[in-house]
Amino acid sequence: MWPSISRLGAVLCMALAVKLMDDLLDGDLGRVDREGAEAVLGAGGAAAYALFLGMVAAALNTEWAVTLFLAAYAVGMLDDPLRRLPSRLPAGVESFLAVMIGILAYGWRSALASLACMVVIQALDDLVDYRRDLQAGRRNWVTATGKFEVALMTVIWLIIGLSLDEMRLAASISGAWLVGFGAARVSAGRLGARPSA
Amino acid sequence: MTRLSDDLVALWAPERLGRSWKEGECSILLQLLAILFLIGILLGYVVGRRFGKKEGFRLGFSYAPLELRRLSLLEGQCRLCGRQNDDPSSFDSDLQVCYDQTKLAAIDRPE
Repeated sequence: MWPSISRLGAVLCMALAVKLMDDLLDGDLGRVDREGAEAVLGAGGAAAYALFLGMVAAALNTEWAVTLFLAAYAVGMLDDPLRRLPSRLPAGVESFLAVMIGILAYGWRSALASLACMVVIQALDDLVDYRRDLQAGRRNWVTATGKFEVALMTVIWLIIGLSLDEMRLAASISGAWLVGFGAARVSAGRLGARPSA
Repeated sequence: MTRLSDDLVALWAPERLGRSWKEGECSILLQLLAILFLIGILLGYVVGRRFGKKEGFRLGFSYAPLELRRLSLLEGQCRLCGRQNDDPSSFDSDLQVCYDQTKLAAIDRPE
């Protein structure tokens, strides 16, 4: 019982940490109207909580937490693989390094299972947000490649994820959905509470 | 049914080692085949779409002047500049001049 709970806890904490980090990065790039985590917690607060939640996730289940975070990092950087990051490395190279670290630390099956989770979540998110991202001019796998390609790729990674670790896949997708849903509720609540101008 | 290989099970799903054929190699083979099959479809679609787009543009650019001329002649008015068919003896050559000026064939084709 405890291993299952700790794994679920690790996935939830890591989902929250990644969401906070993503909001911070989006805010930095001026891609959102600062209604995300940064508006609720402040930039420093969001960074501190992201780190704290990441540590809690690692304490609950190190393998899942570390591989999921590395996979999220790798997938997140794939939006624009040629973009130079502050490390002076192209984003694609950082992605590759993140996957390699996961493989070296926990083996290819675990790293691939986590990568499958993250690719499926990102692809589903891009498929759902495709029209909004198109209007906002934001990079999105669907606008970059095509709907059918992303849908088929999702199915392929879904089979890989189910085949390697179906529990991790189910927990990650549920966790991501819960966190996304919660964030949308918080954001809607704040927008609703704002006095009309 | 003979067992294929324990190595395959050990590689992809070690937790299934020692299980029956149906729960071991067979299901793993099915999964791997499904993945390979879908990857094949994906690659075929991506490559086909890329080539298809290029070919579509090439065919479209060679077809467009003919279709524009046909419609212009049918309607008695140039589809590009709106010139009326006042003089039937020179209308066709006027259309040719109009198309040449638009340099339809020289428009950069998207990759």
